[in-house]
Amino acid sequence: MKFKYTTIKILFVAIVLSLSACKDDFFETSPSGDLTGSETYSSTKNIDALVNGTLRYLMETSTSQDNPGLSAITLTQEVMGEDAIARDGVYGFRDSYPYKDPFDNTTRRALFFWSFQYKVIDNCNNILANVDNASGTDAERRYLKGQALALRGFVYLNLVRQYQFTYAKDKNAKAVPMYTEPTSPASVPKARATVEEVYNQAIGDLTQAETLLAGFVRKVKNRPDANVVKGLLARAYLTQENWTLAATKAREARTGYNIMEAAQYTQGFNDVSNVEWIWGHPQQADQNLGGASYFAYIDVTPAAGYRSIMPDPYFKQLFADGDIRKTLFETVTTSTDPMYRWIKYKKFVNKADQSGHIVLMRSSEMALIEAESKARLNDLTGAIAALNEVRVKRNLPVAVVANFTQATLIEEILTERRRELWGEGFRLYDLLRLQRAPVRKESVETIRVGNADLLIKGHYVLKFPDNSNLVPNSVYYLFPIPVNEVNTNPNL
Amino acid sequence: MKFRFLLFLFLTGWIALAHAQERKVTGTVTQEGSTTALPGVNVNIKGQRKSTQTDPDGKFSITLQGAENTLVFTYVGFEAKEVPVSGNTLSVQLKAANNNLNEVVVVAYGTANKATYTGSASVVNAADLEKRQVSNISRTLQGVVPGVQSVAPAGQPGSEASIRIRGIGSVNASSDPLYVVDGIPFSGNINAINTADVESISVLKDASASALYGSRGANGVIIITTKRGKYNAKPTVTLNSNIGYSSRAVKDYDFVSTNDYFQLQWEALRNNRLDQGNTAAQAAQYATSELVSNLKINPYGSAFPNPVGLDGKLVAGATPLWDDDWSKSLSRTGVRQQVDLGISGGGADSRYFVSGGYLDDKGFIIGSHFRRYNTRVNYNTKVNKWFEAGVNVAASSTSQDSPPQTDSSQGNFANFGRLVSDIYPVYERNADGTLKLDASGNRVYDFGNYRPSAAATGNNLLGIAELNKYSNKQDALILRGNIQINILDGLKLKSSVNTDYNNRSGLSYTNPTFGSGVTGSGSVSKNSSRTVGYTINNLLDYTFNVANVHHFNILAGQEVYVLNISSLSGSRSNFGFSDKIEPAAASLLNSFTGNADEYKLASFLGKIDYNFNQKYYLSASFRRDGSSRFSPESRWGNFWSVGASWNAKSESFLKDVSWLNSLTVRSSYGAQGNDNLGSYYAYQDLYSIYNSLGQAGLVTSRLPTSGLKWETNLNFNSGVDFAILDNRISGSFEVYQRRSKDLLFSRPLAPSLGYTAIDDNIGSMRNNGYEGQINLVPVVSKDVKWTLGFNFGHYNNKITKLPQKEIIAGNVGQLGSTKKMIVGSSVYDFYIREWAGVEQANGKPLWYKNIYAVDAAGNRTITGRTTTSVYAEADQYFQGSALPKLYGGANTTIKYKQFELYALVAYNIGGKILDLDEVMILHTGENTGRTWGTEILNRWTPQNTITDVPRLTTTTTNWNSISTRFLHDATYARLKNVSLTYNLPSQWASRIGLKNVRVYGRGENLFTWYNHKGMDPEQAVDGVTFYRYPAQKTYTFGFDLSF
Repeated sequence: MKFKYTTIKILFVAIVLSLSACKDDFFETSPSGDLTGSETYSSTKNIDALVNGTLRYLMETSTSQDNPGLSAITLTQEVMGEDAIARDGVYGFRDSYPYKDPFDNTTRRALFFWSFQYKVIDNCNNILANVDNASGTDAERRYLKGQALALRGFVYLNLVRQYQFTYAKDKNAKAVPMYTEPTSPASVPKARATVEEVYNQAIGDLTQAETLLAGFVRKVKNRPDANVVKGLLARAYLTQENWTLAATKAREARTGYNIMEAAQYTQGFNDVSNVEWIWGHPQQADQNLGGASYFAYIDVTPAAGYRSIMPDPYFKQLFADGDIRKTLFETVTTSTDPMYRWIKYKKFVNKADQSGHIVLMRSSEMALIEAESKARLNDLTGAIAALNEVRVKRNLPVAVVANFTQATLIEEILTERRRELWGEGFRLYDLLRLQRAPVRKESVETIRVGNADLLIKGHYVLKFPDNSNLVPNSVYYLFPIPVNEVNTNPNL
Repeated sequence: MKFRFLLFLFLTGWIALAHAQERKVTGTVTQEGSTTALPGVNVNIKGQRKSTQTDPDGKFSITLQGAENTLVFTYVGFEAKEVPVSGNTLSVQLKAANNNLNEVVVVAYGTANKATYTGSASVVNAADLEKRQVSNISRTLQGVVPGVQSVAPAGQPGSEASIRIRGIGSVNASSDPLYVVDGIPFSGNINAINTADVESISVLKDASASALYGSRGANGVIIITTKRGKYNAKPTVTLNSNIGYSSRAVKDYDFVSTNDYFQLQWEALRNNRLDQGNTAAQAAQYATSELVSNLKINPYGSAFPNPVGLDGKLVAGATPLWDDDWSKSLSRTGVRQQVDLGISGGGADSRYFVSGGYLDDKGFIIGSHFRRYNTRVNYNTKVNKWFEAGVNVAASSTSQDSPPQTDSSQGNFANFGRLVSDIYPVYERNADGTLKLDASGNRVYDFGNYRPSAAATGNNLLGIAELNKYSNKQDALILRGNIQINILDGLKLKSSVNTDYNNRSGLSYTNPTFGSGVTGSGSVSKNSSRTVGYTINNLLDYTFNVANVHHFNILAGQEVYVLNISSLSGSRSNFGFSDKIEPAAASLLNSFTGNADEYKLASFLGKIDYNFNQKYYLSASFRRDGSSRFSPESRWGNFWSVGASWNAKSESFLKDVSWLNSLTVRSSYGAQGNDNLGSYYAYQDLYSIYNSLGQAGLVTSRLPTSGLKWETNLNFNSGVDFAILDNRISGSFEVYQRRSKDLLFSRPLAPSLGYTAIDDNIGSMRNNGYEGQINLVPVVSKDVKWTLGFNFGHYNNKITKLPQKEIIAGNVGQLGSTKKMIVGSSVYDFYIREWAGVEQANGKPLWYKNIYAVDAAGNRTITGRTTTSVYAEADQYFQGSALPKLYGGANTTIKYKQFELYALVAYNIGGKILDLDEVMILHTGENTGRTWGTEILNRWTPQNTITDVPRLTTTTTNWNSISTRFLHDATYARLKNVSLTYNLPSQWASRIGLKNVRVYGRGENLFTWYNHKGMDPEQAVDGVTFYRYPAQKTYTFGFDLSF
């Protein structure tokens, strides 16, 4: 009996202990939502996914409701000029409008603008450093490299125009740090490079991309192809006041992209299929930023939402009668409407499922770069020809050389840029490039409703935060290097 | 493999030697009046030197010779007992001396006599727990256990308190303690456990106590042990039922009236106009004519189109046509109901505890609701002399309706009244101020599409509380199965298989008709997750004596833990039908995703307890953990502890000192780990899958850190426990040092590198502290017993090593940083801008900034300071610590005949708290339509220049950004609990067939003594408030009966 129990005991002990054997692969686990670096760089297919993700990151990453990716910069650059106003009492860009934010380098917007652009650069640097060893065809590797260089050039070109005054003012001024190698745990943050060095890098990247992307046929319009790269070069040369190259590249960029017909201008600017969109970011209902997207702020037509970017009444006055674009203005006269007494500009209308696409480059902009560059080169005929390409498609009569001097023609083209490109983020770049101050005036325009004259709403901030007047080349126009960078980068 | 074979030989060898006795007596020693087994009780044969000690299960076995027939049981802190031996088995109960130092505590992988334990452990027993009316057991510790800071970060019923044992030992890894339920680390949500089922909670604080939990023990351990039945006991049924009513514990800030609001906003508009260059007359005219258009509301009616005149005063005759109150409208009297039924008992070979409970807690904020159904079966059986088995099965189902209450969003119910000013009506109004009624005569919620953004455009939480839904459902199963094989006297094998299963399902529905859902025609997101944790362990436990005075207990074994997490979530929008809230009814798919994670831990552990004749106690423990969180190179870690205690009272020179009832001195040292670094994959370079437009997408997310490993805590603890004057005064006092090394830092990187931080094990920190408690029994008589208890804790925190000179930390949402870490400072030190008041000349807010001198080499040195009205230019300075000087609790119990009155006060002395709730209601007019606190009435005007509230203007001044302006002393005391109980005399109870009956009234959080009005001081250990659900006070009435 005793012996039997003992045997059973031993058996039990043996069974229990053998149940908990521990194999070598016991600890192997892997995340379901991530790839490791070696997996990512194993094939061109995976690197292509990194390009795709990087583009989404550029356009859609968001740290708060009022920072919808690159569009946050676009809208900030609009309300820091004179043609757009951040409506009072609504979220969005009402602190950028009075030059408080991102000017204040402790704000979340200051940090966001800086960080997300540099993250895109690091993604590009990783692609460039690793693509050569990935499996795939030579062409695939070449196109991936071209896209990464194009994106990096695009971001550096933007940074240098956001964080320092224009090239023509002082090309030796310190701009932003430059990185061309992927960040590793041992990386040291860099000092600021000069404006000229950043331009050289950006133009170098874009020029190389132009060659690499020859023959690249994209499936989705958010990929930078050769036309996009040429357009970016045109922007770079325009700012550098290299008029000849700006005109050439602008013309090359819009080859194959006709300027849209007048009727299409009123269709809401929400689809990359538009003939004149050279570059744009499509959206899908399952990944757009919804109530906090570009359209949530700039589309003023829905019944609810932020709807915060309004045109200045003086901006409306820039349009001649018959201009198709003028039909987009509407003054709100319903007293219960939150936009009561504001003018709405219905250029941007979201899609029904809130998936409006975001425009990044159009042939109209390229035509106007060409026009301006040629006018600067005193080729008034060429300039007028390019300008007229836009004018006729906006139902305006053709302009005639005889009516202009070089100076008045340049002014006309610059005004055309304001009329054509409103809401697309060009105004602040232009004010810095032209070294001008925005002209903000109180509204005096009225509209007759019933038997009363209602004052139409317009600018409510006419001065800088320190109560001084708006002047050219003010630091209030520059984005600040965020305090986090100042605190963590001893080499700055 | 080899090890197992040797073990086998070892066991068979012992078994062969086993049987050579004359008259063996076996038995169990338990505490009188409870089921708690007493380990380490000295069992002595009367008149002989020969003795033994009980094992961790209270069991002993001793051999008697010849005429020996009496056993003497002695146990530190308990009354000695002589028991005559008649048969072969004995069941002995010992009575604890009259002070609460003497109890048996559940510790890591066993139990210990608190009076001789080498480690630091505190206990909360069922009797203390049942007085508390809280829906989450984690909330019962505050003010009760010395050295524990427990704050309920949200008053939301059912939500968990965050607990810090002896401060924060970690910067970026978790500082939460490890929960252990019935002996096994718990992987579920602690609110699945019903307080009524709990026998005791042990809080393990030092190395000796918690090192056996190895890589998970660094932040201390909280062991929850559930009730068990008794052997040989008739079934007892207990029924508890109560109902409580709750409301806000602390009154909110005062808000300005409608009249004041309009005049203030007029002033803000006028001032901004002056700043833009208008003349005084133009500016006043503008403010008067634009005021209503600016606020988008005119509560004075159409008779007063411009209610504020050019002088900035309300025009004569203008009176608001309504007086709504958003905060009040979102509050109600909460109702909490609880019913628990328990049955326990046992036969000769088995015992059981069976319970069922129901809890329904409706918080005082509209929409919040917590329900729990739970049931439990704890069953143990002795199959025969050598085989025992037990199983604990608990199932619970909880359902929490939790309208968002913890962030700055417009959907935060607790905060909504601080967003939307009371100038806006809650219900739609006609132009004459009367209520608009719908076709069926009901009031219509005013969703305020007209309101400015700062006043929650298009949102009425009261309206959507009925229309929207935020629910979390959770089903949990806790399974504990164990077998025990008694191989020899004193040697046993314990094996257990344990599972914590959790299934959660959340639904968040936004209606298409009103509020924020209008744009997308409503939306719904639904998520489901399944979490299963398995723990399997095998332990050998051996108790033996050498030469009758050397007593040993050795435990050795291994353990495996696997955690599986799997989740699904998706959202859809565009509802075509009303009254349908599930995703099936929404026509547009917005997102769908799912994840799975796995975490594995394999461990070997062992401990030795030794005592010499109940005088000198030594213990040592060791655990080796391998974790899947780390790379193969740094996967394994070793954790250990050593401890000693001296029971001075048993020395001959103190034995006869009559005024001294007990005295123990103890000390311990050891290392525990913290592997909870947030990620399960803490070493790889990772690229997040970030698909876009129907195509594969990736984006960089993590830099590689192959050497990443656990944080280690080196803990030193030393304490003394005493009882004097017939146990009328007893207490304990402990000092400790908690040193953390290899701290995981999210070392901030320059954002231009493309990453904000990299994980790194660099840095060290230490907490030095002391804590203690004193218990007094001022009165004991036949009818009256009065006890008083007081406990306190103090620690300071110091960073001793950092990866870089300084790290800015403590970011609060989007408001910025609040802390800076440098060597020599503390992680609790505020590092914020210093408020310098309001400039008398122009009313601008001022902060301090440094003045620098720059030498030839370009080095900057601070030479002094000045003020600036530009917030960004101001410098940050150290501004004191969030750490209290002293914290703890005091309690008293007065028993008079059948009455018992109990009160518990929790207190906090010293330390600072940053009020980031009040800043929301102290704008200067830029947040149009936002509620205004009454402090703004004291704003700067040319007539009121000496003030600390700046001039109003509609452009941002940043004055309400983080600064010392909003830093307050955190000293407070709170009456956590008052309980008055009446026990029906047992002869009356038995007349109605019952054993015990008692009725009671209880109050939770009844009073708060705090200087800064409007804020709830009990918020967060780091001293920063952030829009949380305020604590609630509850009055409860109920009865307990048993038969």
